[in-house]
Amino acid sequence: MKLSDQQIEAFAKSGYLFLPDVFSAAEAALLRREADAVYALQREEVWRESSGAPRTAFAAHTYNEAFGRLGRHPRLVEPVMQLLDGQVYMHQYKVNAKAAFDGEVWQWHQDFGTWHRDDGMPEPRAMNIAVFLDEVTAANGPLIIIPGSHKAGVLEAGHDLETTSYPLWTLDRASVTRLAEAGGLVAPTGAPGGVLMFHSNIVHASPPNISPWSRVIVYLSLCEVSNHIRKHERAEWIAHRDFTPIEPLADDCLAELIAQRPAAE
Amino acid sequence: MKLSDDQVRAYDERGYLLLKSVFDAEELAALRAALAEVLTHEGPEAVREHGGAEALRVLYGGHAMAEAFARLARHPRLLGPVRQLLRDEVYLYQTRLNPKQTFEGGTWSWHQDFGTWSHEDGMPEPRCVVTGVFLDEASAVNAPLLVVPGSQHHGLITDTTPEAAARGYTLMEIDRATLERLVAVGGLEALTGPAGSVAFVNCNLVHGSANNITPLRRAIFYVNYNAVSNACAAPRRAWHHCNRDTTPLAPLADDCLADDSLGAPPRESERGAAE
Repeated sequence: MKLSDQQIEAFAKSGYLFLPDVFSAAEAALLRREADAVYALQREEVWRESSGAPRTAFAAHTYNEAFGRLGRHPRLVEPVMQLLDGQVYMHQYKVNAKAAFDGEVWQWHQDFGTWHRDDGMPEPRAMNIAVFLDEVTAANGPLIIIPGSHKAGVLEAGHDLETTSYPLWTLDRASVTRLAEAGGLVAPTGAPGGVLMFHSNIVHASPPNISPWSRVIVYLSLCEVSNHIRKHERAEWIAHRDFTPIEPLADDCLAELIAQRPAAE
Repeated sequence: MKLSDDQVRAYDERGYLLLKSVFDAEELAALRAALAEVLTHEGPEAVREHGGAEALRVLYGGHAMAEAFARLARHPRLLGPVRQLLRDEVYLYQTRLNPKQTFEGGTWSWHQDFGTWSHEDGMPEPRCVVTGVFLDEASAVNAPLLVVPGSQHHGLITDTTPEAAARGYTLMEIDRATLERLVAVGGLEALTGPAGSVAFVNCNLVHGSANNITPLRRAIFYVNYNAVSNACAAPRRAWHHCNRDTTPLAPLADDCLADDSLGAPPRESERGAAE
């Protein structure tokens, strides 16, 4: 999949792109079932909320076939190679649950802030590409982005060890207010199969999910290979140490899996 | 203002009706000035956010504190539709300001307003319309009001628990299993729209809202009208929860919130007064 010049321009300006219907309903449904299978695993990579509900499953591409294929899917890897202008490796892989009723907040932050401070990633030549596996609506804790905030560079942040089970470098209210006054706030919403790409310096957050609808999103954090991390203080399954360039699979790599494993219903 | 038959039908079916941009910029300025005036109010009418926060969570009785809110409660653009929806004369049962302030605005658990009014005030029937006037834009980002369309048809849900953290108000929480069941039937809608929009909501419609994590405030001033024939027989709660004056409201003139009229005593609507 290739981005158009217009899309590249829009990304440069706003720091994000939302592409609806990149994956078919069947592909999204396969991955959604696999997400439940992954959350049922008792593994250290599967992080839980204080309630015990799943929060996120790290590195699911390494222990689940469908997520493994998604991590090498050409519809995700190729547009990122285009934007980062080079080969990429998988820096981080998360299947975020935002569980019905229990999904907690993700505070305001920039991903590169954490990658730089904790992992020694030199430059923001890395980015997220996310796939919606549930419908994302105003009701189930959508991701909120401040358009244009990637141009602010790495902002001062404090290490929040208390708000949720997951430690995060978070921005203060004054910075968020200032950036939102300039860029506004958007919550991309849409059906399962939609794809959201955003710059590693974009400021984003998501509210808790009070609804009975789960809101699973898979995040691939891809980094240009020469920009690999220099510090190895976080677990290998949070900040990966394998910098091998990703070779994209064929476009039907998930369809093939669906054909092999018809839906259980 | 008069609703069309389609709008009345939509309200009867779905339990709410959202009209966008009912009030203009000038009228909003008057309402927001009133909001700023009452935001620091101290007393039993003012409830702060949970956990010892200073931010106002909800203020009851704002119509008795600021002239613009008093006029809003008798505004023909609210009273006209509400009398149509209730097929009755109405009185002012309660007003409530939910400022849902920047960063601090807390969550409201899933509930029906009638749950409280039935439980606390002995309101006989769910013949009350909750009228939410948006003082700010409500969007997907700043914790919009979430409603379960059609849930009013299930009647009063009695299998509820009073919210444990509530101080200064009562809220009967609906459990997860019940909510799941209702949402499986009716879905969930977020009431979003520009400032000046108005939501007319059946008092048995199940609703809730998340906390506001953004720097965008999402204030709503609720004017809750009860049918005159549905007055509470023996109310115990304070006036700011349950108004005792059940006199039918007569609408003011349509320009009652306009700048040059706010300083002057309110004029009754000629049409309204004649009705």
